[in-house]
Amino acid sequence: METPSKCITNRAFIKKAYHFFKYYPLTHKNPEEMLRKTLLNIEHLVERSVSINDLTPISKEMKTMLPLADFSSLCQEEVSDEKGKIVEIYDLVFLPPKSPNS
Amino acid sequence: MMSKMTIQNLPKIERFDYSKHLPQSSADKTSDVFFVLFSLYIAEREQKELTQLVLEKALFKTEQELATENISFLNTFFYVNKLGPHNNVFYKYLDELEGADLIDKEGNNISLTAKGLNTCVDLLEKIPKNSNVLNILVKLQAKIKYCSSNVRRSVDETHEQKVIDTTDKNETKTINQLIAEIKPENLFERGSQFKYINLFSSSNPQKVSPPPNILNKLENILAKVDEIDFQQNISFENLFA
Repeated sequence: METPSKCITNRAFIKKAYHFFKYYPLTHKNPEEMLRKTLLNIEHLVERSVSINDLTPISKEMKTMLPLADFSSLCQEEVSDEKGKIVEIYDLVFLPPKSPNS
Repeated sequence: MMSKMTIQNLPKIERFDYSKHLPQSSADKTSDVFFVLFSLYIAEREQKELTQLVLEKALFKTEQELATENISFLNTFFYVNKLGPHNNVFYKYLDELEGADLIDKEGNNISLTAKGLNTCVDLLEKIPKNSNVLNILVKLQAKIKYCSSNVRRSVDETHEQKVIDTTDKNETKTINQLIAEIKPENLFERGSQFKYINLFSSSNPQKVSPPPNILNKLENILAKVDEIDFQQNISFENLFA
């Protein structure tokens, strides 16, 4: 599997994440800023990944940063490498395949 | 019930601890919002008028009754304020429900909207028949009927509640005494200085919460997530453009 070069997220995740930062009892004064920082952190983690092994902690990191009720609802697909290792890739880090020209 | 209560199992007053007295995850928070929403559904079914005060009294009394069985359904604890056990976070949950068009607030009165009613009916169908959640709703129903039938009585009862103040030499006090101790000049003191009420003698009560699929559905409704949102992808760099 090629390592991802870019993060794309979907509106469902953004809406839920923004809602989480806006309404969670431990209020964040600036939910947009909090969301931006979180997503940048995820993006940074994805960009640094060099193998599928690096994606597993990212999945765990996402669950820690955004403890939503049911992450499986955001699960888009699972990917596995040549050794059959499976990593859940959630919608929030939808990883577009690299273009052959990129 | 109160006369049988020994000093050992009286509720305890504790200093605020954010890792204990507030929900620790979005799922915990959504679970509390679920029970607030269904309190309104019950009131609608029973044709009872629900105010913010009655709502809090009913939630507190239900949690207190369940505490005798070492069961807990709320992740938000109550602290002492001039109206007795209270937490502003419950008002925040109401704001959240109002923001999702599930409830209407008019002064202190709160009621379900048509969307809120449909949401409750839809969620209720998805709760397994043997679920503990249904048992909680039955107990909540009884307390809503009790508290709404005589609000003054409910306030008096919670004010007369005896507690052990672990922040003051383990003295046994009433909520009334604690209210008298609130200094008027500190009305806007920070949450960390409030005295929280721990109803449980055990440190790990059995938690009852709706199943994840129901919490997830409610999360989607609260955040106004549509099916199409799962398909529409956005680049990070365009998020806040």
